[in-house]
Amino acid sequence: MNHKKISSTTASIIAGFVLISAGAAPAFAQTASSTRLGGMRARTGANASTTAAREAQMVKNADNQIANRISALNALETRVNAMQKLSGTEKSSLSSQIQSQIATMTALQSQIATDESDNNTSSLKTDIQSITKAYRIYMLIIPQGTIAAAADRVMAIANAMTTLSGALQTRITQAQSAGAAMSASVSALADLNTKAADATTQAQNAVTATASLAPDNGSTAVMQANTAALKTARTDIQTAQKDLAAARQDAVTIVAALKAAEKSTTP
Amino acid sequence: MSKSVKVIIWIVIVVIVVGIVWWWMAGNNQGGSVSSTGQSSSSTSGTMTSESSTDNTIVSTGTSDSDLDQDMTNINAQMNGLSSDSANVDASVASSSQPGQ
Repeated sequence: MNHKKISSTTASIIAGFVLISAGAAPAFAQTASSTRLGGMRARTGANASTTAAREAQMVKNADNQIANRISALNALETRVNAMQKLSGTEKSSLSSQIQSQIATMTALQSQIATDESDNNTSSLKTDIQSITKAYRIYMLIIPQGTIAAAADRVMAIANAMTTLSGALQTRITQAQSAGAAMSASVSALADLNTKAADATTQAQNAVTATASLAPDNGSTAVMQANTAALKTARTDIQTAQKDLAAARQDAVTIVAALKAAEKSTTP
Repeated sequence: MSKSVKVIIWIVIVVIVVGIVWWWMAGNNQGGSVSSTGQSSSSTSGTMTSESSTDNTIVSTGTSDSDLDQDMTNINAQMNGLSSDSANVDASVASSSQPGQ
């Protein structure tokens, strides 16, 4: 009897639990489901916020990149306009290339702003990447300009050396007429003239090698050719610089010899 | 629970937290990473000298000692300018060899 009561009570309790559980299960499921949905919505909202923040940062960085490039191009334009020895054609070519790049960068900046306002993510990324991939301002335009600027100065100094050479020749002849031994100065003057002429040649080679280079637009072969040409031109400029340093030393030697000869021949 | 097990659990928790923070920061910075390469070269162009060579005034046509001394001084100044120009060439050509420019 007691066993029967216990068994039936236990069965009732278990049945009750089962019924309660069955009734409560949908509610539990709904709660869990809505919690999950809420979590997903929160995550989606957070992701959207993160994406927007990321895009804003991308646009900010792109603006900085473009501003840096335009600033560098303007500085280069100023330098090109002040060049003395490059031909009008060379200066004009460089200048128009620089102006074209500035206009392109300005247009690209507007396009990026439009991409952002249109929420066009794929176009935004493509346009931002094109700052470095398509236009090659730091990779080509600026090196071209710096090489042209250095070459222009080399030519100007070499030209000045040639003018100075004429004055030194006059003084050497006067000193020789006064009885001074000037053979070392004559040799130094010949070397000065040779070095000045070679510096001009090297500078012209550097300009010729780089003036017609064009952006690679993604072509590896063109990029490698451009890089090789720029490096060769840099070597030319370095050689020209050494030539002019040697020519200057020749001039120093000659001036010192002239002063010494003047003292020795003055009664 | 032994002490060593507790230490291991704490290490795992710290690693997970650091990993989450790193992931979050990487996600936020990803947009900026596209453009980071271009920024490094701005100094190259910024150092570009705008002083031009003017050979008409570098040297005179005079032959006196003072004329020659002045000519040498002017040439030295231009040589210094050339050193700056040459350094700009070195920097810009070196920069051009880097990808993403």
